[in-house]
Amino acid sequence: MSPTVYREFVLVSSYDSNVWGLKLETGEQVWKFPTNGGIASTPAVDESSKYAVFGSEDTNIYAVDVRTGRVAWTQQTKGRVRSSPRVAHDHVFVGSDDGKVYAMNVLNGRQLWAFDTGAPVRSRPAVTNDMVIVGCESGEIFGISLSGQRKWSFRTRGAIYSSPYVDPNEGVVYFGSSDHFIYALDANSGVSSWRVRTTGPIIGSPVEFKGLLYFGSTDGNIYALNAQTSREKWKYSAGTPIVSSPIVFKGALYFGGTDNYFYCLDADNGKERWKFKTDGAITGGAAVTNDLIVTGSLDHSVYAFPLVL
Amino acid sequence: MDIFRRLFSNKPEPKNTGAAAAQKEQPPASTPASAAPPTPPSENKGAKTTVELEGRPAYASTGTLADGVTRPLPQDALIDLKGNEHIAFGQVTDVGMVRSNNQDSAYSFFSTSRSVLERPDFGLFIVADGMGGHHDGEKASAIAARSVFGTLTSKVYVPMLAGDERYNDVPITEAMTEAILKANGEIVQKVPDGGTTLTALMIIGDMAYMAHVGDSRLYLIHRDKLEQLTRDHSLVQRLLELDQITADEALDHPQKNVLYRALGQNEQIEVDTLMRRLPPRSRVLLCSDGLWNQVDERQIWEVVSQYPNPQDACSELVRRANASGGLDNVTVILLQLPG
Repeated sequence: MSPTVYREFVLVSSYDSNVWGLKLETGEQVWKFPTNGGIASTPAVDESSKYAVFGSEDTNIYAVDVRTGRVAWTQQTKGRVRSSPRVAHDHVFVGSDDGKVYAMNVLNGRQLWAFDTGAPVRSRPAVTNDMVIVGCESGEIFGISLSGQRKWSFRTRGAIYSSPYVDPNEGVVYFGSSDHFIYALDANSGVSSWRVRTTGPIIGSPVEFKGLLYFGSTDGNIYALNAQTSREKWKYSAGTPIVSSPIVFKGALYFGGTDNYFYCLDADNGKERWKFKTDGAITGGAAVTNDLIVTGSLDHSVYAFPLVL
Repeated sequence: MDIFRRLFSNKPEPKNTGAAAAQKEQPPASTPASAAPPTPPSENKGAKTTVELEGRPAYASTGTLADGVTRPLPQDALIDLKGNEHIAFGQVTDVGMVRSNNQDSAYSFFSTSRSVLERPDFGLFIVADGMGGHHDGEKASAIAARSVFGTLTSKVYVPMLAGDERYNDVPITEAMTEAILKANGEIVQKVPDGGTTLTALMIIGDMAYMAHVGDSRLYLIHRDKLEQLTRDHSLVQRLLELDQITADEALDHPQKNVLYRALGQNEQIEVDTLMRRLPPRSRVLLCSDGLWNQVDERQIWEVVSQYPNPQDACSELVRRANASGGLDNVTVILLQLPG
């Protein structure tokens, strides 16, 4: 489960087939939205309509009011939806196990286009000013124009579950693959700039901050690479596979481990600041606000930690 | 210190002995007063230093990338290369005022096209500064530049032009590294007593990919900043990074020409690589140490900023290097980005 924080709410998708709307400050339940399948998709919130959009393994994409949990619209795909939506340009971009990436109007769910990647899409698309970038299970990653046309593709040797991260300043897209590599491509052309091999499949998504690229690998390490040179600045060994996606906030790097711990490292040097043990593996990402960081654990709990800087 | 002894143990060889050495040729002992190296702006390792120029905007020298931290570019609009504006470039190489032969080699290649196939602009620029007596230096730099150019055009440019996407199976920086390693093998085999630096820049669209060994340099000049993108693989640079010497001491260091990394030294060498998106109206300068040892960064920035034509700017840079003594061969390639 990966939480999404929106103002005073935290939304938690769960494999119990529900999306939970909680009060951010107290964790108290505000609403619960049931679907007919497990939910691996992290909700995305549209600021103007206040709709939270997510997919379910019941093959549907749902938009619900983030304040009440009331459904605004649903759209059915031809496969389970485990991809997390991205809201941008007043549209929702989301993939499905039917192999398609859908672009739909965020207000009514009307489909603008569907792009067939040929294999299940499990990751969250990245959206730039003029492009949608998405990876799929066949190992291919696509650059798609906002009108739904293929601009480029690039093939890795393993399934892509890692969501691409686009550095908006440099126009470079970073993503991991099950072939053990982390990749950097020119987001405009798909030309491959560099790749770095770890010793395990990369499932989680990378994040770039101040020229350093952070990501976890199932080899048990969190890596910090110079994004321009691909040289390793530091790595931190958690010992067990990391499938979650790290986030960086105010000089700290946060991520969960399959060793049940939630970690806080110094983003600059990789030194451990603190770690907290839950009663289950942490496989999803975390969400951060100005004074709280929220994450979910496979112990069926959602945790909120005060930010200690 | 053992590692340094090993890396830096090559003693300077007299000319024409044919001995392989990483020691680059030293200038004559009697240096004319007018050729005294100009004082560059003071540099803090890895930190930006700003130098006020009289009557001109300040420019910042960003030192080296040794800290591993990148510096984001200003939030410029991306270049629209679909129009009719393209990269312009100039190239000048000169033997200098002291040497009898030019051991530098330079390659410049730029291709642009307009068709429904929509191929991106492509450029490949190389500076190599040879070392070693008995013409070995010039042979080594020529082999290096020719070999790297040949490998990269055949492995990247030709397939890209033909629409064969297999060129993209190997990342560009990896292809550049492999090309340099191949060139290194050729030099070791064909010119065992020679060596060379090599700095290569590949442009695809507005992305720049760089690969570098030695102390030839690559600068990005944008607005009021001159940023050194490459890190010299020299003893003096290493000592600077380790805070063993100051920038002022580096200027007159007796071993300022000693390299710990160059093509032709060993079977295995490490290659630095870097990628950057080039901002509109920026300029990229490749040069051998014959330029930066003779002309300080402030002057380089001035010339590059003042001359609208890159070929004229290259000529002026070489003229200033020679006016400062011209102690070494000097090679400059300057690219000017549209926007």
